[in-house]
Amino acid sequence: MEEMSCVYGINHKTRCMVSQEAEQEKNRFIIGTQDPRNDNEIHLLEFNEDECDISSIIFKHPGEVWSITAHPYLSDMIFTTYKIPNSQTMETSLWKMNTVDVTENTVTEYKLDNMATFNSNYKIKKIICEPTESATKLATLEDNTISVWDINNITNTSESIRQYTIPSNQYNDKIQLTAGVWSPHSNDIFVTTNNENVFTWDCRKDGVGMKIENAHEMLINDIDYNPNKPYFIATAGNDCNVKLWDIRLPKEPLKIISDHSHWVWNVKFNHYHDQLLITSSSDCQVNLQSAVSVSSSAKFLEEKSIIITDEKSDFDDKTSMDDSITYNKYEQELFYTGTGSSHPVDGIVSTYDQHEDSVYAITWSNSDPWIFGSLSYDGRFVINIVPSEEKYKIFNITCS
Amino acid sequence: MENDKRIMNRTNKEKARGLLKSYYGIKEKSNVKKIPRNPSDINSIAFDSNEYIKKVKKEYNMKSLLRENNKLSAEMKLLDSEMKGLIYDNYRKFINANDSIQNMRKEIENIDTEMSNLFDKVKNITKTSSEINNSLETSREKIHKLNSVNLLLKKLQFILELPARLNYCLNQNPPQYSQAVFYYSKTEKLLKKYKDISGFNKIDEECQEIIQKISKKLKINNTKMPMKESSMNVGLLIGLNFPPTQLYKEYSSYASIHLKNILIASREETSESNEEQLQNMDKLNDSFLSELNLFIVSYSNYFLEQDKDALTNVLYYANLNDDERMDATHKFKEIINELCNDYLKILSEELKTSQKNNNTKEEVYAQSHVLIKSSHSQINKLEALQKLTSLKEKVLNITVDWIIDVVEDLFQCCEDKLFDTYYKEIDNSLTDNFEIHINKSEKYIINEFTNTIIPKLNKITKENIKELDLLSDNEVLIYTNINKCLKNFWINMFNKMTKYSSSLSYRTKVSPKLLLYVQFCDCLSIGTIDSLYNIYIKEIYKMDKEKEEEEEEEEENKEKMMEKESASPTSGDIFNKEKEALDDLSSCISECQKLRKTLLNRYAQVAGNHLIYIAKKEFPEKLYTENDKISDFWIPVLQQLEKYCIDITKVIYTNISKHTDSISAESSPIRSRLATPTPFNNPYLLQNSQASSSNFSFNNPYISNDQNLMTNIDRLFTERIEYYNNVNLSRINIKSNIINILLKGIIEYVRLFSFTKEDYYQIQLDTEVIKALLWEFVEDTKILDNILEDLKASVRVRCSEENLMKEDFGNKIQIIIASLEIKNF
Repeated sequence: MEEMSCVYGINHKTRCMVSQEAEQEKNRFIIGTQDPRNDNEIHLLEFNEDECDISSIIFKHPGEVWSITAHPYLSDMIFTTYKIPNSQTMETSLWKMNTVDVTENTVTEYKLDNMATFNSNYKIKKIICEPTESATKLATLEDNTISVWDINNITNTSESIRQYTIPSNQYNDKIQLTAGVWSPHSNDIFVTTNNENVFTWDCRKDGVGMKIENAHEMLINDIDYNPNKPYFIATAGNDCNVKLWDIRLPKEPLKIISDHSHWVWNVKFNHYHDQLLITSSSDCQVNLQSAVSVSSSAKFLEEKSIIITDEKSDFDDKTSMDDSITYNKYEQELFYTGTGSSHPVDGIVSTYDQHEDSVYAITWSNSDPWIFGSLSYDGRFVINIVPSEEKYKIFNITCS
Repeated sequence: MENDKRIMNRTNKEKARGLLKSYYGIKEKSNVKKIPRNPSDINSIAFDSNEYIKKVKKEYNMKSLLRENNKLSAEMKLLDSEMKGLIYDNYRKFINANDSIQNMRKEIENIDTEMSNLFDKVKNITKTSSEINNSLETSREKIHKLNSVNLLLKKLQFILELPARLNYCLNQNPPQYSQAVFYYSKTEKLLKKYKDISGFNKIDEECQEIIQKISKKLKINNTKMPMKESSMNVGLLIGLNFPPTQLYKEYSSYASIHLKNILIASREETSESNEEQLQNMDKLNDSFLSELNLFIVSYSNYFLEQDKDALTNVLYYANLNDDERMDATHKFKEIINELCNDYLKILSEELKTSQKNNNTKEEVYAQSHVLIKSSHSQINKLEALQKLTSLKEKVLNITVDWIIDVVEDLFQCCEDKLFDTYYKEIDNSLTDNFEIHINKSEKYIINEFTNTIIPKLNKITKENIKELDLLSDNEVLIYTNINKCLKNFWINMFNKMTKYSSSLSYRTKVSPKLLLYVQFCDCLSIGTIDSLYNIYIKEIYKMDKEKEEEEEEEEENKEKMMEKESASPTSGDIFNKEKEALDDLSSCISECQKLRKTLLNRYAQVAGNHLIYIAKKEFPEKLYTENDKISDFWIPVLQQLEKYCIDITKVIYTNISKHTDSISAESSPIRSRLATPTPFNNPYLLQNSQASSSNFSFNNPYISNDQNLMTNIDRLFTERIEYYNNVNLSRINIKSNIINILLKGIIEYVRLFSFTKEDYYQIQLDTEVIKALLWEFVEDTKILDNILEDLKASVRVRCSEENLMKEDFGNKIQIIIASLEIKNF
């Protein structure tokens, strides 16, 4: 029953990890370490499913890494935001992961080449990129400012194309941009979170687009965009909740998932099956959630449930209306919350407790739709695979 | 072939002959033939004496011959005598017959003469009768003619007199239109038929004129006319063959205007006092409803009834075809609906004004009750109204709504008063004993229930509803709704508390009101809801049962079978309602328990987050304070925590003793280890030096530089802490949870900073102080230890310098604590 999982340990504190965005063939993850004393590293990990092992390439990185972003179409390029050792200044650079063969000793040397460093006037905390191969834009998140850049023209001197400032909130709290995600459905739209709010931005326009104010009761840590359903997003916050939203309906979330017992740091939609969500939290747990009822598969399920109830009503035509209603209700409960059904239902699929410290980063593999990695503060990186039972359930709706 | 034919012919002929013979009684030859010829058989026809003698001679011997001879002669003698007897007999009969024939012949001669006499007489009779007939024939015809002429003349007379009669009817005071119309409707056809005859024509014209006059007077569009008169007029107009489609339209529009006028008139009369209002309403009910009823009766009789035989007391009715009838029905329903709605509007407005006019709720209630009762009683009297409109149901709905309003209001008042008096915002100066406070509020609800709500409900269900003549179904409906109201009472209360809890923000201090709510929920779920439902069910349902039982007994005495059957479903339904109430009870209790848990979790969460918020706001760039004192940001946090703890200690009274016991038991081994108790009796103050030194010795050999490992190992053996949603109703548990949430939040926060050696020194000092301060106020000191250890480790790994030292603070902790003056956790 226990699905295979694979652990990789790093002897540093770690906070950030991404999957290699441009790599479509291999399960590759990039981890940046965060150690205020030692030299920091970038670990490029490759998970081999068949062997179930993790091989790694380690690059030296100057300064503790606070954020990593993989380049959307160049597999050897990464952006990192890091703190220069023994100072309080942060910098953001574009790096090329170089593997140089030193012929004499037949030893391969791994080196990060600094391709460009952003102007230090920008106090960049995080970078988000357009997620397509033909990406042209990236956005940098500062404390209360968002700058949009031309991704193909990043040099030491380049300036942002466009800037947005987050309006101050009613409590006069310090504005604190925490996360952002580019819409996979439009080249010009991205969503950011700051404090308790969610804002959407359109690169073609000035000012805030749609917004969800007070989406969470406390600080929002992460946001992700549903890859199959436009306008559908997921947010994770310090109120221990994960909320699923239709951004056009900012009053009420579509669904609230509260299975964590401390702050939720990450939420990520599966790239293919958007009913699967992984969440990580400082309660040291990683949860695999199913939110079928608000996913793109909901329509398949509904069709099916309609068919099934129709069949049923043919049989029980003579039974009273009340009976059929309760039956339908029962049927729906079965679908979305019940057990024993061969269809996916809402709720937690599995909980992973291999971590012993807060899990600050989590991501799906870019090549295999069922593999995801999670990284805790103590440097433990764990690969997990979606249970096959759940896979079959998902295939059951979309394929039959 | 020919042979065959011949044979066929012969057999046919023989057959025919045979048939003829049998007809004439001649024996058939064939019969003779069939008998086998035996000449020696003496009984046979073919007997041949000679043959027989020959045979006998041949076969018999002498003796037997002699014997044969004797036998034969004896037989012959016997036969002879028999024959003689027969002949005598026969002869005698013949003579008798002859005698009687002679007698008969004599008598017949007499009859003949008599018959001829009779015949003659009959002939005479016929003759005279035909003579008479002939003589009378002419006069009879005359009589016939005269008779018919007489009738005709009578009719003619009537017709000739008709104009006069009609005029007479017209001139009567009051004019007797109906009589006139009756006359006219009888003669109309005749007049129409013989229009061509000059005299008739004249009469017809005259009549027409009069009828015209009458029909002009038979107005139905005069809206001031009372319904009865108009309805009669409509009937008369139908009798006068006015086009019925137009008639029903006119009639219905008249009725609508007329009835509306009544309604409007009633609106115009403003009523100041209750008596006036009631009088007005009575008047309205009386006039409007009975007029409406009349309209319904006559309209449906005139235009809608299909079964003409059913109309026994109606002289005139319109023959509408199906389409027209449909239209008429449609129009009728439209008007009736409109009127009913207007009426209902007035009724509900009256109810509203009764609210305005009266000051106390009692008066409003009584007035509304009287008003509703008045219209109920009026409607119950009017059969057609009930049959053809839904007015009764609608008035009933208003009644039910009104009752629900009243009941809801009762509950709402109780709830409002409860929250106003007992659960207002608690200010800090309030030093009540909250247990007593909550008990008071509990008592208040129970009092309110037993003294106000239940008697009122009883009054409604037992007296007032009965007065309204409701059907048992509707009574059940009212019970259902009262149950619902009671449930809503709880749900509203719960919602109020939930709403309050969700309106809280971590940015400000959580009011102890939330804790008070928690305690209140606890109190409710333990006993209050249960006892209130007990009172409720006992009062509302048991009394009802007794009554019913009594009734049933009485009924049983009278008519056992019938009445029992009709009574049992009612009690059964109400019994179901009682069950429903019991279900509500259990669901309310479980809801309440759930709510208690949510509120408690919510309290810990918001309070913890508020403390984190303060910590973040106060968090300095540098932790280090140079002097030996606790880092600055702790002060406001601890102060606030103290406030929370004071709140908790003040408000929460459940499970106190139990947990303090368990704590003291838990800490006792540590205490016993200490030879001499310190003034603070705090193991951590003493333990500090020991523990830290032992830690040192343990760390030194190999893993001096990686204390991280130690914490990790430690972590392996401790259970994971559930930070949120794990709070129990006890002081210590709530406090522990808040502290856990606070410390965990600070851990997460410090990981975002970089620190120096001095900061690490400071955090060690801080954690020791915190530990010494708080150990007594948490459930599990081990957990506190772990979290503080984590905090230290988190700061340590964020230090940019190496070779960090574990410090030994000695007496500093005690001094700091003494200087802090924050101890009331």
